[in-house]
Amino acid sequence: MGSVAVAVRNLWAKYVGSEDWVLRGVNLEVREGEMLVLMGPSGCGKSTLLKVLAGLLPWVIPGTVEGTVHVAGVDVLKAGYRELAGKVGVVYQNPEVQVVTRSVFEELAMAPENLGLPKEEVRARVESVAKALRLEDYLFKDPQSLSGGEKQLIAIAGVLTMKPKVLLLDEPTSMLDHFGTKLVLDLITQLKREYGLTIIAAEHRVEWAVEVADRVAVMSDGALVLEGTPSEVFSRVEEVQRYGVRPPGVSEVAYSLARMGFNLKIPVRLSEMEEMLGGGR
Amino acid sequence: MTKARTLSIVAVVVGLAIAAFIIYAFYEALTINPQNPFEAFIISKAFLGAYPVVYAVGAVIWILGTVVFLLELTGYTPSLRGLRKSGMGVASWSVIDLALAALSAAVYGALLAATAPLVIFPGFTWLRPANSLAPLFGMFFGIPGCVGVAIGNLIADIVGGYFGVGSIGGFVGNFLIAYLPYKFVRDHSFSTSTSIGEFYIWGVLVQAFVSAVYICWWLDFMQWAVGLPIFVTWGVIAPVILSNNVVVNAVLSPILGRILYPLVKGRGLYWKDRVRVGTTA
Amino acid sequence: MLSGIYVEGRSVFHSLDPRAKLLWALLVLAASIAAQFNGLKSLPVFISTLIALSLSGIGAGLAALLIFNASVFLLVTTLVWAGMYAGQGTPLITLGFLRVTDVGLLVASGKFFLIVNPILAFVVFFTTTKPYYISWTLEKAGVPSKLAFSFVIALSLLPGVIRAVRDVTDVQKLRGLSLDKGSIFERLRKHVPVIVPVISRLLSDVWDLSMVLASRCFGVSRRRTYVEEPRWTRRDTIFTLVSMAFYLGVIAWALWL
Repeated sequence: MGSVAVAVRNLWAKYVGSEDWVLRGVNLEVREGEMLVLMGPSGCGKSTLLKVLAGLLPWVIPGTVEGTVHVAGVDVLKAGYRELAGKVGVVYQNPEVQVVTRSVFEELAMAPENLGLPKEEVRARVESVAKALRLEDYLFKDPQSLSGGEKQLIAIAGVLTMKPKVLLLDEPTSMLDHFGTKLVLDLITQLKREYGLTIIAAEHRVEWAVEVADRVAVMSDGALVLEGTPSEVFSRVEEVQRYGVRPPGVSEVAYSLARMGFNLKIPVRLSEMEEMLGGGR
Repeated sequence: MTKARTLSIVAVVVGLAIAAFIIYAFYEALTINPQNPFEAFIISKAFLGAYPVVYAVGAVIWILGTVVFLLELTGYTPSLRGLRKSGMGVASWSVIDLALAALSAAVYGALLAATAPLVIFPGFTWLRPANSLAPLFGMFFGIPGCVGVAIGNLIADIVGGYFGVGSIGGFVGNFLIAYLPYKFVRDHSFSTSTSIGEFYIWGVLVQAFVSAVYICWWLDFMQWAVGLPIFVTWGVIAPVILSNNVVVNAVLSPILGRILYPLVKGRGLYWKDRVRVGTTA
Repeated sequence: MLSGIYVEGRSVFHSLDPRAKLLWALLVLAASIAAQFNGLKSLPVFISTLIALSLSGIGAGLAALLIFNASVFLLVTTLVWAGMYAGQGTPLITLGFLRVTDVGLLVASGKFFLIVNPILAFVVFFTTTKPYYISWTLEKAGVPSKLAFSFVIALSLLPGVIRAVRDVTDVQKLRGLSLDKGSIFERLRKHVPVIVPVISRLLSDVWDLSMVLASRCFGVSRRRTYVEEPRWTRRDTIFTLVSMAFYLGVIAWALWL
């Protein structure tokens, strides 16, 4: 992994009209090509952190932000979200408001068109992303007629045509059914493994996060309380539970066994548990 | 009781009385002449009886209304001290203003298209509950809301298969329905008698008259392209627009305004919280 | 059933440049204005709009609905305009208070076509022109891009919002809401439980949509690219020339011949 893509120092943030700080003294660093999954109970500040990183708070959404935030080489709090245009891609929870046109091609082309790129460049990017994400058959469909999961795929593709350096995902599967969730999580996994994008995703699905993420950060009440590799974080089962995050099932089982007296290292992945038990393929 | 409070209560009583009178007057007209109630409807008779004056007043209203519409779009607002920068011209719209205009238009257009008009008496089908949102969108969202109402009405015409030359008058006419209460009602909260009283003056009575005259003067002026005879324009359409806007806004808008104002304010979308009106241009 | 919203298709009209279609719609309007006092001279224009409806792949159901709506205008204009010209020409129909003469019928039908022809022409325009191209056309016509874009986003979001309105109405009806019972004032007030949830959803969606637009770099570049600019082809030239010849011919016939 390369240089620092995202650097946050002593970040405090709140929305206009709010008395309490939503983010309290957050410090965070994410390297290029790294994938960080943010976890925490609802209201802990994950979405707010992503909005600050995207330049939306306070530049679009009124609020107060203090500290320093550098994303893709841009001092976000000084420069604003326009300076991040094309460098940072954001995907949100609600697939319904993320498709605003009547064809998938137009959705994918929107961001590079808004950047004023030449027509040939726009077309090339759309075709390249559609091919990479196997969306060629969707290009001339009406996105309003697609399922929630498919709409989220289109939303992610629409962001990728900007060729962002950093991809921010704010609970992209929370409004999707099981099939939609699988579609989206598989795509994010593909983006991480095949394209080496810097990704920061707020997600609740722990079993997926431990397989894909390089690092996990747990937030609670506006602060970053735990940070490290998935193994480092989720092996601290009791602490993670105290902060309102459910550890992976295998970790919980191993932890219960450890409390009964079994001498066990706490695994975080099913494959680790299988190895411990002497099985596995 | 203060003078302002007394005037406000009087305005509400008069507004509601006028709304009730309109319904009663049409019922009477229907009893007198079931084949053509508009011949006996007092508002039709008033418009047609004073046609030369109505036409002259209409021309003035049309010119003023169109000039104000264009000025506001370019970011200037008339005041007693001349033109001031409003901070809400289209060129200075942020993404929130754009989203407000687009969603107001979609919601207003959808409610007009998807809710059935209230049939009170056969032949008088022009009570549209959705029209109650027009003044509210202006008061809550400012110029983006006013533009959203204009676009929404245009969309309802397109979707309903009624788009034509007359739609141009309807576009600016609906902008004025939203604009007048936005501009002249000082307290948009609907929580004080002054707020409600001023709304009844500007958001019920004045906007109904101005919009009816604006739209029908355009239809009259463009009669050679629209094909409606003058007595239909001023004897049927003008009374229908006036009646609908008075009755619907007198009954429904204050209820909706009282419920929706705290929601709008709580979401940080009230225009006065977002925009600072500037100094003299 | 809603007309005027873009319907995906591969019809003749779908393949035409939006400028050619807009010019065609304006020619229909001009010819209808010229022939408004003589329905016989406006009849060819009406027939041309019916042909356009069938060539636009709109579908029989919607076409039938539009024509049915148009027949309501026919009834109204016949009564109104025929009545105004009841003293001129040879009486054709006399029924009580209704006296329709040949002159009255010609004027009534001309006025009917003046109302209906442009409506049908613009329905064809909007149902066969993608919102993307409408935005492009508006910008080319000098409309500020933010205004054009608001219009296009609103058109794109409309089907979803209409579905939401219908869902809310159905849910409230299941909870006992009856929108067609009671006095006028009661029936108006009963719309509150339909309108408030829809607006509440709008208020949430505004922030989401604004964040999406910001993330898609809206307004960043002074000049937005249109990757799929319409391309004027030979077919558009032929269509435009034929339209001009036809409708200018009708105008000449109506005004001078």
